[in-house]
Amino acid sequence: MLTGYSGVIAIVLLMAHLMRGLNMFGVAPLLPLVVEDFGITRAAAGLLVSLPMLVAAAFGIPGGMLVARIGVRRALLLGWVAMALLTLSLLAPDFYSMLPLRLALGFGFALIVPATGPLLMDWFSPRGPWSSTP
Amino acid sequence: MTVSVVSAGPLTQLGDWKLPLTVFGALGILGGVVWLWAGRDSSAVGAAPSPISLRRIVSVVRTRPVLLLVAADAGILVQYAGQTSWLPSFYNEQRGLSLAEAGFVTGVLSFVGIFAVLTGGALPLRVGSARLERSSRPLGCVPGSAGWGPS
Repeated sequence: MLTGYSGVIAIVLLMAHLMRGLNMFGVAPLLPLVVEDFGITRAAAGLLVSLPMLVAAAFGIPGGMLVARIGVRRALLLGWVAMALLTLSLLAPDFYSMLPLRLALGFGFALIVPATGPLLMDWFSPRGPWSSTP
Repeated sequence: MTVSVVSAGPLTQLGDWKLPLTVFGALGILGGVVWLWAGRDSSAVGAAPSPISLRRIVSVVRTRPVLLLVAADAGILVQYAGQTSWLPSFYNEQRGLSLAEAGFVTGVLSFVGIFAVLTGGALPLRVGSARLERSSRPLGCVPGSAGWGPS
C-alpha cells in the first residue's frame, strides 16, 4: 500500500511515463495532416514518431551512465524539461523545426527511464530504506 | 498512449493540428514543477546510483537472457510502433474514418494492452508455466490480422 511520500513519488513517476506515452505516439493520428500541411512524404512524416524512439534507443545506455553521474533528481528534471520543449510545437513554422523538438523528447525519454529504476528500488523495494511496506 | 491517440484527433478540432502536441508537451512543464517540489529534499530521491563501467554493461548485455529479452521487446516495439503510427492514417484514408474516430479505434488496441499486461503477470502464476503463457502470446495476432481484410 502506498503511504505518505511514496504516493507522491509514485504519482510523479506515473506522470513521467504517461507524458512519455502521450508525446511519443500523440502525433500518430495527425500524420495525414502533417503530410498535407508541410508537403512532405509519408516517410519523412514518420520521422516524427521514429526519431524520438531512435534517439531514446541510442541514448539509453549513455543516459543510464549520465543518471549515475548527475543523480536521479537532476536527471528527472532534465528529462521533464526536454519533454516540455514540445510545448513549442505550436510555433514550429516547418517540418525541420519540429525535428529538434522530437529529438529532445527522445533525449528526455532516455533520461527518465533509467532514472525511474533507482527511484522505484528506493521507494518500493521491500528492503529499501524508504519502503512503503514494513 | 491510449489517451494520446484518442484525444489528439478531437483536440485538432479546437484549432491548429499542432495544438495537441503543445498541450501534451505542456504537461512536461507541470511535471517538472511537481518534481521540483517532490524532489526538493535530497533524501527523497536517495543516493545517485553507483556508476557502472561500459565493460560491465557490455558483459550484461551479452548474456543470453538479456539478448533474448531485447530481441523479443524489439520485435514487439517494431510492430507496435508501426501499427500505432500508421493505423490511424490507414483507417482515415482506406476506411473513411475521421482522424478522431481512427485515433479512437487505434487507442482501443493499447487500452486492451493494459489488461493484457496485468493478465500476463497473473497468468503464469495461475498456469504454473511461464513457457506455456509466453508461447501462447502470438495467438493474439491471429484475430488482429483480420482487420486488414476487405472492408
